[in-house]
Amino acid sequence: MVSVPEPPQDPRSRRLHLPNELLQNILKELREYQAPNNQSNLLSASLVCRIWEPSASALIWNHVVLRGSDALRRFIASKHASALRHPGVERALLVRILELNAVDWMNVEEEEFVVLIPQMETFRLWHRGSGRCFSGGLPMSRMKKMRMSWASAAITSKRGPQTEDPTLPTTPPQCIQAQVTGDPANSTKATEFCTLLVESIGTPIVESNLAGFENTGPSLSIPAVAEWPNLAILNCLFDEANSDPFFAKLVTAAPPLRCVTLVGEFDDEPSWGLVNLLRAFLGLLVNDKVLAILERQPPLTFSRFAAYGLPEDEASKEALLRFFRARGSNLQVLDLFQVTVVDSEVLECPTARDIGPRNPHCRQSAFIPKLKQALPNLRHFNLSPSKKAHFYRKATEERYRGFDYGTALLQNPVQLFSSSADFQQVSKGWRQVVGCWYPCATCGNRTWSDSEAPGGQRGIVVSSSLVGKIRSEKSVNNPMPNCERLTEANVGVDPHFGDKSRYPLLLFRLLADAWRVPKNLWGTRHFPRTQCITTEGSRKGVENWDKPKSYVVTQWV
Amino acid sequence: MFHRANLRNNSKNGRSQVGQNRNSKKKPVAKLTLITEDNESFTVCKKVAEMSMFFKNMLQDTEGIPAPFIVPNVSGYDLKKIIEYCSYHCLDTDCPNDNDSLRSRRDRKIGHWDETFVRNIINKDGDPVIDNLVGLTKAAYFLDIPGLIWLMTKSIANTIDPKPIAEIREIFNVPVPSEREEEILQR
Repeated sequence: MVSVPEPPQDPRSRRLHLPNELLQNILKELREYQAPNNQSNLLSASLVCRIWEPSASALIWNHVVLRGSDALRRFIASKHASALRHPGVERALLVRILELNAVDWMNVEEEEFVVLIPQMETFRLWHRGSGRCFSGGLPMSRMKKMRMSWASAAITSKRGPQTEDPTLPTTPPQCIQAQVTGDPANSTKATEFCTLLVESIGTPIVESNLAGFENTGPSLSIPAVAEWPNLAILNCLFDEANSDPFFAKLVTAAPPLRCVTLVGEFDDEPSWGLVNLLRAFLGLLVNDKVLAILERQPPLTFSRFAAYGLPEDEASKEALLRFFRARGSNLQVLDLFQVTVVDSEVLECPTARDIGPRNPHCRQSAFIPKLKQALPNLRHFNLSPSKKAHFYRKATEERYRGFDYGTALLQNPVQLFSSSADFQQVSKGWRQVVGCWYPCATCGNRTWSDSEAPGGQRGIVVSSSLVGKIRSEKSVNNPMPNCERLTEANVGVDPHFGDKSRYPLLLFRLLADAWRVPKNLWGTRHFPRTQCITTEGSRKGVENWDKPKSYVVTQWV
Repeated sequence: MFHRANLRNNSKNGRSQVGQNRNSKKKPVAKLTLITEDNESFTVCKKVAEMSMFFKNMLQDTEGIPAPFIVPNVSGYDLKKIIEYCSYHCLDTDCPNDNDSLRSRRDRKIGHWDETFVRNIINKDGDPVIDNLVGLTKAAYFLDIPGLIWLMTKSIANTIDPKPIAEIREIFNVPVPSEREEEILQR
């Protein structure tokens, strides 16, 4: 695509003329020598001569970060300038990752901007002031992420691509990923922006992590998210004010949802969004037509109801109950983290009852076979007690008995989420055991290496003491001697600990030091491999790993 | 392909193929005779030659040891260094010689032997260093030896890394362009 001038005629220059591929290799190596945000050596290389310029530019413009609307305007202007000067060599064509502020795009012409987008592989959008956290102490950063993927097939194009430029690719690139990070106050813009993307590219968004509907922001229009076609994964932070119409719309549009994560926002105030959604599903049940639409969709396989302070009333229970009945038969992941509304009556719906959170004593652990019967596909199950119970109540025999029951009766569970104290009691029947990150009072200072490796030979446990070690960042001398027996690691991180995302990265380093020959490395989708290999240090840790067979990023769906 | 009867580097340092010949006489293994574009001939073991994808494919295609093979585009000096590299690394299982493993090990460091190998190129008197580096890189590229290509590109990047534009131009003998390219860096 880039025309290369003829090699120079001077004999020595001719001898020193490098083929394009070699030049690119050299420049790539050159890039490794400098920090990611410092490209002075590549800049020098690009100015050496016209032969070097295209190769160097491709690397320089690979990843562009724009701060401020001025930068965006300049970027677009320079794109034009370069197009005039070097026809056929579009700067924008070189850009593979573009990061910019969500507010900035509002200040430029849509058409100009839309032209840029189909040419990029990755698109990141940052909101101003995204560092803000809420008083509840909930790590908001993770939930503020909006992430979308486009499939390659173009489906709905209201506006169509804005460009007739023949140099642009005629088909949308495969697997464009867009990440929108921002605080909820700006989420309207973000969703509008995403809608614009959908319309301009014409490909469906299949995944969205919505920063949600916050009543502190300006009065939000109903986000168009609910109307996005092919929305398969919805991670949503909700509140009372806007969720009702949103969920109503979602139900009407009936996108092929496979994964729904709903997270309430405040610890003390009740959140109604879950109830609203469930009510919406409740409404579906009586409407045969919509139910028929739902039947054609892939069934929900993942459900994480992490709702803080969900009201403990009959409506919530009823909603959960209906939800299980309607959509629960294919659930593989049931995460009832900190859902206090769950009680025996609700879980009797799939003829199960008394899950730990509400009643940590687990008096009637016999709910498990019933739960298993009702949810035959259940493979992942969160038995974490609520946070308060975790901190203030000691693990009791009853709870341990509950785990024994679970071990005995759940057929071939793949994954068990639990607190670290409970691992001592988990029998080897579980193929995988994943620990929680937060320190707990119940396990005290017990280090993981003091005990036998729980979970048989296929688990990795992250205990609070290990987290402590990770925090100190000094623990390089094999903190996990028992790990030698392990063959797989799932370093999945609970999304509620979003702001501690560096811990899993450090864990990677520890694992790399302690455990040389892993067979599989798992991460949740909150912890993709790309994250761990792009972070300095952890990348080294993973790279040093002897022959990792696979890096499975669990998608949970 | 073309041959140059008189070789531009012929006067240098009495480089010879003695080492190669000595090696080649020890074992009755399959050997391959290579003649460079400047008419130097080398005899190498099949195993050494197969470090090069070019020769490997050629040997697979011909199913047998062909007659002395004329290697175009590669000078005697380059081929000598290449054989030196391949003779060492054909026994070295740690050093990946395929693109996949090279790509997956981006943090790979230059090994001790490789470092000496590159330093010896640098210490070659007469020619400027970069000429030999580039020549060897191109030869390795032509013969398709991924490990050597990686080593050479890394070394060249090493050479030009901290240098200003003018110096890079001087190293690569690039004339100062009349029209200066303008870059707008946004980052």
